[in-house]
Amino acid sequence: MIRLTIIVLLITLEVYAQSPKFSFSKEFVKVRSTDQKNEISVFIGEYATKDELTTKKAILGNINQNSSYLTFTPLLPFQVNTTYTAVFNDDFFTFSIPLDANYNHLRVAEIYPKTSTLPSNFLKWYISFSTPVNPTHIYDHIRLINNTTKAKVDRAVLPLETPLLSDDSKLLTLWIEPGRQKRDLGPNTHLGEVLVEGESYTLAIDKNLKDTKGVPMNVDFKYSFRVIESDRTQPNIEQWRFILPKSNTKAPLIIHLNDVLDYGSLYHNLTIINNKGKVMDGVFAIETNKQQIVFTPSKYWNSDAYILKCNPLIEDISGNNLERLFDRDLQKGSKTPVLERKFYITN
Amino acid sequence: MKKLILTLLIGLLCVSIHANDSLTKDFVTGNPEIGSINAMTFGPEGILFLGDSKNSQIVAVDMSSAKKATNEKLYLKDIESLLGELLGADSDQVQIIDMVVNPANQNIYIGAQHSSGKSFLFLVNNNTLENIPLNAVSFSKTAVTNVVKPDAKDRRGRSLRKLAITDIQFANGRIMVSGLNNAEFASTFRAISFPFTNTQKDSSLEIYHAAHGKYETHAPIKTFMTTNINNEPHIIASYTCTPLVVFPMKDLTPGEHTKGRTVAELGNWNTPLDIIEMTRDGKRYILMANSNRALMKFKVSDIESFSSTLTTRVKERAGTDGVHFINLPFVNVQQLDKLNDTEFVFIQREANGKLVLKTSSNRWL
Repeated sequence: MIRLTIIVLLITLEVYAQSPKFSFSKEFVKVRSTDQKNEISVFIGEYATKDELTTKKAILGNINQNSSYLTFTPLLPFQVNTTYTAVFNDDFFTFSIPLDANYNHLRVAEIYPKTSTLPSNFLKWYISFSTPVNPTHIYDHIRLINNTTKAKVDRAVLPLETPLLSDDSKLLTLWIEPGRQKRDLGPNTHLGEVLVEGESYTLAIDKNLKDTKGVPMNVDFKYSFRVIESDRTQPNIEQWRFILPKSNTKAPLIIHLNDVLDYGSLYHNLTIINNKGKVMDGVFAIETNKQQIVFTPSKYWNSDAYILKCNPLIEDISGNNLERLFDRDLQKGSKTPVLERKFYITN
Repeated sequence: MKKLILTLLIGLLCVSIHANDSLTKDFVTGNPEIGSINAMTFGPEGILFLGDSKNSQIVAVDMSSAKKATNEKLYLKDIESLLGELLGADSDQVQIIDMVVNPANQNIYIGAQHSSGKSFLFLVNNNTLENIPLNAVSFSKTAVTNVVKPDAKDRRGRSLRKLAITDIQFANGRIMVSGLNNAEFASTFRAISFPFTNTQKDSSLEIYHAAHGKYETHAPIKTFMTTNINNEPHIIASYTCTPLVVFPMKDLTPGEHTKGRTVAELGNWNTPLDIIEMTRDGKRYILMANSNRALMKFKVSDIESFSSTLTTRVKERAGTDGVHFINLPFVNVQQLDKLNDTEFVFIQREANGKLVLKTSSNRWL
């Protein structure tokens, strides 16, 4: 029996250090062989004898034989910094894909909202990661800590089997336990809201949270805030303040929101209509941490009237939207929401 | 996990209606391009429905000719380690998303997701897991439209808003889909006719929850099942905020503001995970798995006789109210489905931290 351990020094190569017989990459392992009957098995872990493998399952994948090589392609690429053992007849090859020294570790790029105070009926955060984050067991790495007691707040964040992640796996929506935020439900009645007015808390994401390649963050993330009274007022777009660009420019339109609004709900829920009734082409930058939206048109502004149209689903950080309060008192009537603002562009 | 229950009853109806018109007659063979497996359920004729949040679609796969697994004694002692070995990944990079039983042959399928976002379908066979490739199958599929236009992108060109499918069920010739949206606190609930057609219009509902008749909020559905209550088809839904709610299916009208009747509050610090229906000695029972409570057993007859909605507050801390239920001695059950008329299969986190697949008989009912 031959046992070969391959130590990789040149990490920039896509296909790693070779023996005359064996080579590997993230995507495959390859053995020089011309025998059509040969089989290759790959296991996660380091093994030297077949006895050690009796209770182990081989990695699932496909085997291809050409005239010179037997190739194993796993269903998933091999993880970095993980030891694998390829078994070919009586030969054992141990290998590992090293982590690039210049690897960009996962980090929290931004969190919305990131204000020094939050209302006690605050509903959800959006956490923006620098690279795609591993959704599995993600809630095990997220805690809300009471800054006075230094204790974790139990059941503060709602764990979902499938976490709410954007398509690029970089934006996580984190809900505060809704049973405790909804007035008059059992959890709310017995325990009250998760966040107690006057207290301060820290949202902590531990450094062991991994990216989708299995590499951890390496640095803890912490964000502290103080809790103020609950917000039971609907957002009102009539209080938004417009900083208007000049006509014949492509200068941005800046809208001050005069409120901390929900980051996600503003996306795709705003349009600007010109005097011909057409939607203006352009890009909205949602900057809720600065309490503003910036619209940059792709064509020049005319000296004319424009209308900003808002979807009634736009909400504040406590879930109160333009149409209704988060938990609406059924004894109280509702009024027709204002969903449009007209503005004039001049020289 | 997802519940079979009425699926079977309705399935029989469909068979009689479409005796000469197979539900799979419009299926094509090829790759349905499944982006993720987020929820699964079986319909009639061995059709497996997969909810795919990533590609915003429901895929129906014909599993009627799949081989029957050999499972004389069902027991997988450490599923996470097994998945880690089979996929060559650390076990914390792999997560079980759903488990479902084909009522036609008792095959157990497990949907698992790797952190890269790639999903896998496994068959429990010979007390191990066998990968079932989905790139060359007989299938039909339909898009589950999101609430936002597909062209809505942020300045980096990415789509921010996302529908996460939380559960799917087949009943009355329709596939029903509950979903959460990452940008609005609300539930989307759709009913899509099956077989899928190009011109179909899905029904999209807004679901609300009224707490003790006083405050009303949007109510995201976590899991649901369909069954007959007082001989009428109903949906029994569990919300993320703990109540158990029933809706008559005939009341589900597109565009309507639909409010469920709360029949139980199931206690604090608890998220419902799965609901199934079992029968013993002609009596019907509902079993519900929970994140922070034992497996709960309800009698369907108790739900039928609970004609009001909860109007009083639950008095005790972590108290529960409404329809009576019994806690069965199964804690930390994460996946649950009916295996056959006398057994259910479940995945449980045991005290030693291992995730175990096992079965139990209906002697607990």
